[in-house]
Formats: sequence, structure tokens, C-alpha cells
Amino acid sequence: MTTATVNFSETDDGLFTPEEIRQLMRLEYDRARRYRYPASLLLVAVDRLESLQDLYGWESKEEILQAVIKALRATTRDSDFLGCMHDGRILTVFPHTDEKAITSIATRLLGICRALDFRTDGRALRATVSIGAAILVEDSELEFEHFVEIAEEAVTFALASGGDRFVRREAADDVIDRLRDEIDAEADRLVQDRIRIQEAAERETSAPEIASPLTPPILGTRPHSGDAADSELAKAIAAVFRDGSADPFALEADILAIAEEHVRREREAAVSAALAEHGKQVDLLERRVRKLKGLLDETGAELSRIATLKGLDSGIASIYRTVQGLSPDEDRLQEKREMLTLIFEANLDLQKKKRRS
Amino acid sequence: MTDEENKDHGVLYLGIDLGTSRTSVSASNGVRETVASYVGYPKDVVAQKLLKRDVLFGADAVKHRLSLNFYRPLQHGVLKASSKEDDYEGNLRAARDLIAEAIRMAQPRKDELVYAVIGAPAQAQINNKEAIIDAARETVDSVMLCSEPFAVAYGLDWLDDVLVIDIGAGTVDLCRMHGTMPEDTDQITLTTAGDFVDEEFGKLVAAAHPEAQFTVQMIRGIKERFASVADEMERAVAELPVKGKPTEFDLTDPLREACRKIVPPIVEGLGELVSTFDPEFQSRLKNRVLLAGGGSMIKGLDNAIQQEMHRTLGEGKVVRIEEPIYGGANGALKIAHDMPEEYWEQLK
Ligand SMILES: Nc1ncnc2c1ncn2[C@@H]1O[C@H](COP(=O)(O)OP(=O)(O)OP(=O)(O)O)[C@@H](O)[C@H]1O
Repeated sequence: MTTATVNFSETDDGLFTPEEIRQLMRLEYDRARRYRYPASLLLVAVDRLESLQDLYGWESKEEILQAVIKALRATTRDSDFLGCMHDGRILTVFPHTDEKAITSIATRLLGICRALDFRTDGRALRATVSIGAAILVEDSELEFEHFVEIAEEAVTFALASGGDRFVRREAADDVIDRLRDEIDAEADRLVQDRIRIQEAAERETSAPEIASPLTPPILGTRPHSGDAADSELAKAIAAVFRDGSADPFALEADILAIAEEHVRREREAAVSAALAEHGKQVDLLERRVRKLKGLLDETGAELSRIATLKGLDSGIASIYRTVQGLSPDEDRLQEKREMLTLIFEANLDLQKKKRRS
Repeated sequence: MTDEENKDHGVLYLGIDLGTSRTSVSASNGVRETVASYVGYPKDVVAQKLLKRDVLFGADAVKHRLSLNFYRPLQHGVLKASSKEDDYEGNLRAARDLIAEAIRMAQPRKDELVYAVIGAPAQAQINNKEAIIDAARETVDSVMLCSEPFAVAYGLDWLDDVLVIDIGAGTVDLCRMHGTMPEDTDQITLTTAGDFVDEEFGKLVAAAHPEAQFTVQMIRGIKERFASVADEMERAVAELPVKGKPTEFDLTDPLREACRKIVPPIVEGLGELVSTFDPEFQSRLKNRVLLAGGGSMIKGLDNAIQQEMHRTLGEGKVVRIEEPIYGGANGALKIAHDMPEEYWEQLK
């Protein structure tokens, strides 16, 4: 077991600078990709850190971050990981850690942070965290930077849905996106195919008028009725020679008429066979389009369900668990208390007047 | 409150600043939002179908104003209800919806207690105050009003003997603070505010460049980008159409001149508030001047007012608040936070 390679300080010199750690993360990530072992990335943000800083100053921000980092180390005692700060958030890469393992780490971390008893100015504060995870999926072609972006999206989502939660943006979302694209492209292609085939079919059915009667059918192989039709033709010609007129011109005309009639029938058979074949293809394609369309609708419905879940989010939690009031070590406590009392009394008056009227 | 309750209830504090042109909210969950104080309702079924909403706010409402019944419920800093012909009911409803929207913007959680302090214009009438409280009570657990300049000062821990200059769009409100509720004699309202600067700037541009075509929005945009009263300022170079063709103009001088015009009336007003104050504390008052409101973002304005005070009143110190847009809301939030629990309870 190795110790974690971390530098969470933006000022102190650790063994590695944050930049070097990022480089190590990139190498680790590429290695995991190349040798196909699992790896996960966690991005941990303290909820409402900026407003905590506004309210209680820079020191409290640092204090909270350090407490969370401590919690993270406690949570990950038995895994090797790389960590550094990333835009005021805690970025960690866990090689050899799959979805299940990272979920358990994140869940534990959430729990520990929730239980952190954090006080400043003698006030109890909520210091919860939002955790975004990116999980390496097999055959991923993502660059490390993009992998970080996925975790950023996840953590943004976690923060926006109220904080104090863990969001994985592995795979699943990307896979849905990719599937959606593929289905879209496939449906497009099928529709194109159908249009092409229909157009071809239309061209053919109108073809006989343009073609000379003696040109063989353009499309399609000879229909199966071939042999029977041939012997019928032979019989018809034999009959002309046997019973027909002795005038060679009349004879020629008769034979031509028979041949023409034959070719025409054969053409018709070929075209209708081709049409039937196209019809089948069109049917098949239409069924596939319908099926894909159904799938697409389902995916769409699922996506919008997820989106409404987002819209339904429960709001953003306040940093306060309890009603506050002036803290006893406040500057000019007495004066402030008097002012607040005056405001309260004026409002109480207002309320009474209203009730009376 | 028992521990049991603590578990599922957090307490969300809200500070809300209801302004003529802008309503801002600052909340203890870190949310800070602002919306232009405009409210619109679709005029008819067709408009409603088209807009797909029953009510629109802020820039959205402005954009569609032609198909809306359009309200600026806080015009002149108070609910517009002064005369009968004003659509009082309509304005009231608009104010109500605007406040509800401000609270919604703060994204409160269902399982939290919500306590709000609303900074209302100091000159708001009693019935206006009731209307504001009524509107808020629909969505929060407990609500209090305080005067807006007091909220600004309290937010900065300037508790007494303070002069607050709040430069808005329609009015500059000068307020002498000594205690929580300024009285009429503690206030002076001037109309030489943001809109006035826009107007003057427009006139000067038209005089210097009669060929340039512009709207008041374009002029305001240029002002908000470059406004300054300093001798050395960034060149205000902007494009204005000439016969439809975008053409560059250097508007630095007219802009500076227009911005400077608001200084003398402000200092005159301050002088009045100082001279009618307890002589013993006059000097202290002159040295505790807070500059707030969107109009205070004119660069160098604090210095210019201070210099003018030195010239006409012998002394003066002006401090510009850091977040002019959220100054009132932040202060109201602080009041909400500091207010003892039993007070909130009693007003529930
Ligand atoms: N950067 C800027 N420089 C100069 N003026 C600005 C700037 N930004 C905004 N303003 C002006 O500030 C004014 C709006 O101020 P504010 O939002 O404080 O108004 P308000 O409080 O809603 O109005 P009122 O005090 O009249 O009720 C507008 O005139 C606007 O043009």
C-alpha cells in the first residue's frame, strides 16, 4: 500500500507541485486507458463556499477546505490516489477503482462531511459537500482534460440540485447521448433509403412508355415464369408458320406482334416482381424506422424525466441549521439589539393595525 | 426549537431589496439574484398561448411588453396607488407577483423555515407596507420590513449618524440615519438620478454629433460601460449609426459632462441634511457618507462628491459601497440573520 500523492495546498511546497500532480494524474489516466483497468475521478466542492467566505472571511474557507481534505484522507485510508486543488475544488484520481468502489468512497465522504461539527463565531454551520465523479469506461477515447470536464459537469449538477449529494456522470449519460446520436443517424439513413427506393420504383413503373418495346426490362432478373413463357412463345410462332398466311410480310407482322406481346408481358412480370420486392423492403424499413422511433421517443421521455427531476429539485439548502440571532461577541451588541427591537416593534405595530382593519 | 426539528428544518434567511428599477435578493443559501422590477400579464388568450406563461418578469416582460398588460409596480419607489386612475389592483397584484418571484429566485427548500427582511423605500406609505407584507406572507414563514437606506448602512456596520446617498434610475435618495426608521425630515429625494444622466448625455451627443442616430437604450448602454467623472478616464468610444451605417464616435467629453451634473444637487441636499442636524454631530455626519445604488458605479463619483463637499461644506468623506446592486439586499439579509428568534416567532 502506498501513501496518497497529494498536494492540496495552493501555497505550500509539497513533494510535488499541483502542476506536477496534474501531470501524474494524466499519466495514470492514460495508463488505465491503455491497459484497460478501472479508474475514477472525484471532484469535491464545498457547498456555498463563496458565501461562507463572504460571511466569515478567508480563514473559514481555508478551515473548511482543510477539514474536508482531512475527511477525504480518512475515507480513503486504504486506496492510493492523486489529489490536488482545482479551481477551489478538490480533484482526485483513483486508479484501480471502479464504479462500485468510488461510489462507496463518495458516500462515506458525504456522511463524514455532514457530521463535521463546524463552527465559526460560535455558530453552528452546515458544511456539506457536493461530489462529482467521472468513471472511466472501457474503450473510452476521452482525453484526461475531458474526463475532468465530465466530473465538473457532475459536480455542477450536484451543486445546482441543492448540494450535499454525489452525482456520477460516467458512462451512462454519455452512452445515452451517444445512443441517441446513433439512433438519430440510423433513422435518418433509413428514411433516405426509403426515399431512394420509392423514387427508383416510381421511375421504373413509368419506364415502359419511354423504352422501346424490344428493350429488355432494365431492372430485375427474368421472372420465374420464364420457361413456360418460352415454350408458349415457341408454340405461338410454330402455329403462325403452320396456319398463317403465305405472305412473308404478313407473317413477319404476325411474328413481331407475338414477340412484342411476349416481351411486354415479361416486362410487366419483371416490374411487378421488382415492385413487390421494393414493397417488402419499404415495409421492412418502415418497421425499423417505427421501432427506432419508438426507442427514440422512449429515450427522449427518459431524458425529459431526468430533466424534470432536475427541475423538481428541492432547492438550495441554507448554511444555517438553526435560527441565529446576534452572537454574544458581536461588536456593539447592545446597540444592534436595540435597533433590531425597534424594527421588530414597528413591524408588530403594522401587523396589529392590519389585523384591526 | 428541539433537536428533532433541527434535523429537517434549516433556516433560510432572505434579504430583499425592492427597487423602482430592480429587485434583488440575497439569501443564506448563497443565492444572489436580481430582476428588473417589471411585471407583465398577457393581454389576451392569443398572447398567452404564444408566450406560454401567465406572468412575465424583468427583461422578459420588457421584451414582450406590446402583448402584455405591463406594470412597474414600484415606480417612484412605492407601490403605485397614489391616484384613483392608476390601476391600483393591477399594481398590487404585480407587486405581489414580483415579490413571490424574488423569493422563488432564492430557491428555498420546502423543508426550511424562510424568514425574510424586505428593504422598502424609506418613503413607502403604511398601506404600501401592508401590501408588501401581504405579498410576502404568501410564500415565507415570517417577514419584516425595514427602510432600504437603513439596510444598506446596517449591512456595513455603520450604525448611526450616517448619510446614505442612493442613486437609482428615477431618484437619488438622500437619507440621514440616526436610529432605524428615518422620518420625513431625514430624507430628500432628487430626480437628478440615472435617467437624468441618460437624458443629459443624449442631449450633449445630439448637439455635438447631429448626424448620429441613437435611442435612449443605446445611450444608457454606453453610459453603463464608460461612466466616469474623472479628468483622466477611459475613452468612451462607441459606434452609433449615421444614415444606418455604424460609425465610431468619441463620446468621452459629453459623457463626463453629463455625469458631473448630478454632483452639485447631491451635495446641496447633503448640506441641507447636515445643517438641520444636531450641531454637535454635524462634523461626524459629514465624514460618514455612504454612496450606494446602481448610479454610484459612475467612476470617480465618490471623489467628486467629496471634493464638492470640501468646497461647499468645508469637509466630507464619502465611501462607495462595494456591491452597489446587492448593498440593500445584503444588508437586509444581515438584519434577518441577526434578528432574535422570538421576534420571528411572534410575527409568524
Ligand atoms: N456601470 C454603471 N455606471 C453608471 N450608471 C449605472 C451603471 N450601472 C447601472 N447604472 C445606472 O443605475 C441606475 C439603476 O440603479 P438601481 O438599480 O440602484 O435603481 P433602483 O434602486 O431600482 O431605482 P430607485 O432607487 O430609483 O428605486 C440606472 O440609471 C442605471 O443606468
